[in-house]
Amino acid sequence: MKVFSLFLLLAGWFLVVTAIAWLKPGFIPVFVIAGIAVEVLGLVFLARQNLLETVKSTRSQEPRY
Amino acid sequence: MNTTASLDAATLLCLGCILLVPVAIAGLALMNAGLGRSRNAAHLLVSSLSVFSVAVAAYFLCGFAFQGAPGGPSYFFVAGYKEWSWISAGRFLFRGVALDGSPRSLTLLFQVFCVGLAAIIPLGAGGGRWRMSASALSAALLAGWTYPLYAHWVWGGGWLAQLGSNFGLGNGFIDAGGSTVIQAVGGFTGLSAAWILGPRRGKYSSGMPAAIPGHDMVMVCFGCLLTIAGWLGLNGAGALIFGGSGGGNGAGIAPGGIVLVALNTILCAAFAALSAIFFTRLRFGKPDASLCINGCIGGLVASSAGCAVLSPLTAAATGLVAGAVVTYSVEFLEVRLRIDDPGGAIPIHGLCGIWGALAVAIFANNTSGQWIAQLAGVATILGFVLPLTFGINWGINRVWPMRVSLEAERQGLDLHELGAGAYPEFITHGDEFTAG
Repeated sequence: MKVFSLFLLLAGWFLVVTAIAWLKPGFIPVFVIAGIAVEVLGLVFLARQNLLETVKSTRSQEPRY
Repeated sequence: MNTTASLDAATLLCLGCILLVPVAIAGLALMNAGLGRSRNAAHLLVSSLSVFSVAVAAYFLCGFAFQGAPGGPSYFFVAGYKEWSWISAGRFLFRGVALDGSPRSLTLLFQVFCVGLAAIIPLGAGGGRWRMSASALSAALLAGWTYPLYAHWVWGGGWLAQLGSNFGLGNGFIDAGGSTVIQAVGGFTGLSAAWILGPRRGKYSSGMPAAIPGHDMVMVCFGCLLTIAGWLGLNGAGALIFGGSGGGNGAGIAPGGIVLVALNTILCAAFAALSAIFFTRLRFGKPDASLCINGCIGGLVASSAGCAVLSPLTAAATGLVAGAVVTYSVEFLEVRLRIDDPGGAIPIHGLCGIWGALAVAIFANNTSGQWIAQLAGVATILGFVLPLTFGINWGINRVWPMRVSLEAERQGLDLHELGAGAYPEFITHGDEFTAG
């Protein structure tokens, strides 16, 4: 899941870069915004995955002193 | 020979601004130490020093060669019938740069301090649990690879700076003082470190996050005042070197423009502090000291990108939003996402850095397509820099564990890693580990 999230972040960036490089000016804004939306999705997945890991690790680390 | 007499006023002004930047570094180090626990204070300050030193060394070895300066040789590929400069082809160990007060040598000096500043930012997010050796290793890779690469794209005449000349997107990505190049790169490296390290022991042991207030608000406040002074130099030097209409292609503003830059910096910081005071009073009934100070720094961070192109009114508006961003994102990250960031590096440097770049798109008198160039710069931070720093820190953690042991955390990193506490005459340990 974490790898998939990082892949989404990279995919969003590639979308932005390729839109600027190859698309006609009229289409660029739409694809740039779409690329950032994909990145935000990746960020949400990454945050959620780390949240689950934090919850799991804090449960196993109840005070032992 | 009197060489000073041969330097013109603009060069001296730029040099003066550059030499103010270490004051901001000292201020941020003090803030990180003050916002942490007393048992980790000396460790955080010594870590700042070691990370700064390692970053400067890595930048000396290879960083500047990868970053380069506008107009220098670079490697590029061709896409869309245009050249995309992606990394400099400079020489290692600062060879080939005449250190004589030329624009290229001023750029080099400025960058040495900038990379040190970027490297100490993640310490705020990993404070209290990050081994000094691992943080130094992370800083070496940040200063030797991640920072130079992104800085080349924005400040070294790279593809983000060329978006204007190549694709007609305004003046290319504008970030005169480093809202993204320095701050967001450091802030998102801090986010990667915080995710990999996990929260401090005792932070979430009862389900809800335990409040672990900073141990010395006087130190934090003094650090904030130092940072404001240093930021005037940071934004001033950045604008004089990179803030002109050519952006990162090597054009700076005229020396007279420094007045607007300083005014925008202070207005943004002041309105961000006022915004943080207002929102924390609204939220908690009283202004929260650490959030107000962090809000002020968030305003400084947000001011950097557009310090040379915003008007005073829009700089104030940028500050108002930055204060709100800091106030609400600190709570969101801590409570909802369970990201333990004692120094507030992620909201202050990461999120406000991004807001600073977006503020240029929204508020500045832009030519057509500038907002797309600004979005492309932000997209590169999120889609390239974040995965890169996450991967680098994940790799470091695999071969050289970043987190200290449970016993070290309980004992305090001052005693465990340095052998002596910052305040040896006081008993400073809390009892959060004995709580049920």
